[in-house]
Amino acid sequence: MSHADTAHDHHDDHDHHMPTGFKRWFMSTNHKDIGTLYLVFSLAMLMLGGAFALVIRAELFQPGLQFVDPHFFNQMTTMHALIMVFGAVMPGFVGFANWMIPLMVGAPDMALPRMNNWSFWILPFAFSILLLSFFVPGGAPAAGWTLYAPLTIQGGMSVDMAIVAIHMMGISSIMGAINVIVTVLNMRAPGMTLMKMPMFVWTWLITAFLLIAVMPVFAGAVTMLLTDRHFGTAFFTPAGGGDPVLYQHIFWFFGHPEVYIMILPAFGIISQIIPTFARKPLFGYSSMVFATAAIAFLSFIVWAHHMFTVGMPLQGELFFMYATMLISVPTGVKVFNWVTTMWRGSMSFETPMLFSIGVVFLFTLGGLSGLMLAITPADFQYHDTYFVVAHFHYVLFAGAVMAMMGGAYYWLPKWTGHMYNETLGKIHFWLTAISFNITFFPQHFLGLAGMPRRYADYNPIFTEFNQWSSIGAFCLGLSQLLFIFIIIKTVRGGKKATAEVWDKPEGLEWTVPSPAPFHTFDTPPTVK
Amino acid sequence: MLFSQHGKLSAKIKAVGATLAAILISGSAQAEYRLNFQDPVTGVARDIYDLHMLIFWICVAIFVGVFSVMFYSIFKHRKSKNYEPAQFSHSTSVEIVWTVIPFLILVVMAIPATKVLINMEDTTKSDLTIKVTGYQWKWGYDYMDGSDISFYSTLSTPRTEIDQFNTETATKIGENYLLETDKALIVPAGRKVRALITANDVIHAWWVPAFGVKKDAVPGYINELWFNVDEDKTGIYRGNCAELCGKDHAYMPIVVQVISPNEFDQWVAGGGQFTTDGFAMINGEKVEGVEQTQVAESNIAPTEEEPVEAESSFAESVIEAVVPAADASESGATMDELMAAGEKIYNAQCVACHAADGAGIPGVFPAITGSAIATGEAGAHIDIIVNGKPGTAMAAFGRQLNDEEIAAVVTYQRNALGNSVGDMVEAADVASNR
Repeated sequence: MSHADTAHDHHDDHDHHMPTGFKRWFMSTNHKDIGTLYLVFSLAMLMLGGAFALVIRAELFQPGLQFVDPHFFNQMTTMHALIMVFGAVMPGFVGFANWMIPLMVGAPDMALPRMNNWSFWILPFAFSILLLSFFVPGGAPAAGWTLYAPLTIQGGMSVDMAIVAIHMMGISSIMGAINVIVTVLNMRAPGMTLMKMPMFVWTWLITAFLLIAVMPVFAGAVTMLLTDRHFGTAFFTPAGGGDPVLYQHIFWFFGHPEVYIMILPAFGIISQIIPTFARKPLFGYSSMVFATAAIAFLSFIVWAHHMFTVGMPLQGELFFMYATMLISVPTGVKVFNWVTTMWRGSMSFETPMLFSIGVVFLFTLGGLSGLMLAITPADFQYHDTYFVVAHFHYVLFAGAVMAMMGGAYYWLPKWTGHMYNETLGKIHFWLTAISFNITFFPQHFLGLAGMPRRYADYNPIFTEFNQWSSIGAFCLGLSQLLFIFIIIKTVRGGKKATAEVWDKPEGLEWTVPSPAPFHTFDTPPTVK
Repeated sequence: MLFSQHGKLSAKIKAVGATLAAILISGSAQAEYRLNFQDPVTGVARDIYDLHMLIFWICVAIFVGVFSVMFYSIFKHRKSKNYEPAQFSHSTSVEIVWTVIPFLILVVMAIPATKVLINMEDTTKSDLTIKVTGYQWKWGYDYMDGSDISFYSTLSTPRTEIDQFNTETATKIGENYLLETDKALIVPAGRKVRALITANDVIHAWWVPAFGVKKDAVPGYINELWFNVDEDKTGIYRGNCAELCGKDHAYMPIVVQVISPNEFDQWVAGGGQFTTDGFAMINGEKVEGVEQTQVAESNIAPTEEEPVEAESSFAESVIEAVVPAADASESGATMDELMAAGEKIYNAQCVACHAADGAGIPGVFPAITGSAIATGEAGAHIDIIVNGKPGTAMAAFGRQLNDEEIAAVVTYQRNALGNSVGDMVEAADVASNR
């Protein structure tokens, strides 16, 4: 702060007159406030999507229909997934990106702050439209989050509302992605070459390219659906010469990269956390970058493994099987690098580290069941059963969501200036990890034994594991109330956090005070 | 409609609470459960099972290997034990090793997987072809090799077992709950059966786990699969629809009865007869070795007459249940008889969408009660049932129901479910409107 006096004054003026109320939160162009908005929104959606999941688990507690009719059940499965994917996980990671990328690359803000505001404020409207569909005749979309034609062509007007909402979410995601790319490529501090960027920034940069590549594809798919529904086209209607399988190809061309959109930033977060608590640099930084890029590339050529049973030619099945199996190589490299980062470190096990170890352990379990699913002949048996449900919750909840929880504990002191309660944090971790496994581990058995997914009702042979799963789900859901309690408690007060927070962590974000001031890096730091 | 109106929420919560307590005390509510695939009964299913177990054990080995290293590190290399951190951060040779070794493991997995897959997809040289059509929410089966046997297979689990909203009217859930149909698919053991899979409305998937087959039934497409059940594995196998197909996705099971080739030939020669519980009937008798509750006798047994055609046997059973006379259409069923038969058909065919009280689900499935079609001119009413409504879930029942049945259900819809048009539709009206 040794600039000319005028500049200094102006700067101070800026700092001390932080806008408040409506102006601060609704008109914000500040990356930290927008990041907070994204994170709060994501947490709210996590709770709502979780509540839908509990309706599903309540109905599946026993065979027979006890609580909801199958049509409402289908609305719950559809909305649970749409809310979790587009409302909880994706905005959650954008929240982390907003808060942390400028702090990590030494930039004063995101490159396009007004667009940043807009990309957030689209979301509440998009999700209001989506949720209002519960109240139109016929209720919310009930054809599954994949919105497969021709079932969606049969649906009520809620499908149109979902399509509009998806367009809005897509615009929001694309703008968020553009912002990340421009910020990372143009606003890094002097000396921070690409290969010196923190892993979280790298994973988000690659994720942003994935988003820009595939969100328009999804928008195209749902637009074709819309014109099929209302404007007499027949893209997916066989009676008009259309092709229902075309929808699936387009959807999964979006859908598979989408899977990595939801996990790569999680990889980034735990790649920040593990070195800090192992007190040892991340092992194999450059191979981690290349592995991330390899996963992103492969994610574009494996989409049809979601549709092996759709009736592809043998050659197609073989290609997609081999390509899918290949993804386990770069993913394996990442897991080995994390374990080697821990190896001969000096580890301590604060809550963020517990979550990160949980992610490595449980994500790998989900990754290995993913490898089983890649084996086409066996996939014919696994496909559309609870085995798949177990698999993707291991990678999505234990991968993406638990990584975000770990990240929240890791950076909460930086965001709020207060230390969270470590004991409560650890209790939250163990409750989450244990109840997660009670919920989803038995689903592997259910799927292998033959229980299809998206079933409102089942034969009594599946009762026992469904009951485990339901009990686990309610524990998992209730445990997250503790998470909210811890966050609120930390925001309101607690032990003052130092600038470094942890034991000599790497990264520019730890060079600014805690809580991070409203404006940081007005003068770019120099990276050696 | 979050909670059903039929039962009180507090009663439900009590019921669930009681079950929960029972589980916690006894440790287990259901003694019987499975951890792995159903026992395979075809060569392909066995190959899949072996492949699945091979990959599984490789994955277990990898998992145990990686995480024993991690947990060793977690217990040894910790700050609380004052372990001094090393500072190494990269090693190209190590990276190459753990790229190449997993790749080689993948090759080991891919070879058997490829072999099994090539065999699975080879549908040539089949002995028998059956067309399987998915409908919302039933399966249709057509035997393609000149035998002309053709029938629909619908869930036979009673509605009272499914609807547990009100514990007073609900009945106990049976052993084959949701895995039982009014007619099983009958196939021979020891012959290569090729199935052509398609759908009439939305996408379904035909899945019989014990055979190792699952294929999507896509409208506009004809997919293929094949199975050849071991000679000594005759019996009943059950499967499900595996692709979300709307409201009653969970309620369109698949039941396959595998009988000996000899019996199968007799069954085909006899025109494809079924017992009342939906299994193969040859010369008026059930097939040996099938545990069934009772053999069909009575209403559809063709002992003295010509064998009744398979398509109409359900119709006959319904009509004869209410109209003892040999020929319902000529005898002229009375209004009461039509209404009784119509109610039965309504509850089997229409109730899934239009609901037991005819209210439908607003916005998705139109109500029958007070609808313009059901209270308007009878011809239009017959037309929509015969031809369906393209682009909606309203299926064409013209092939599935005969004139008498359509007359009965039209009459029922017009004079029950809150409607009281007062007219009576006869089979002849249906015939003239077809």
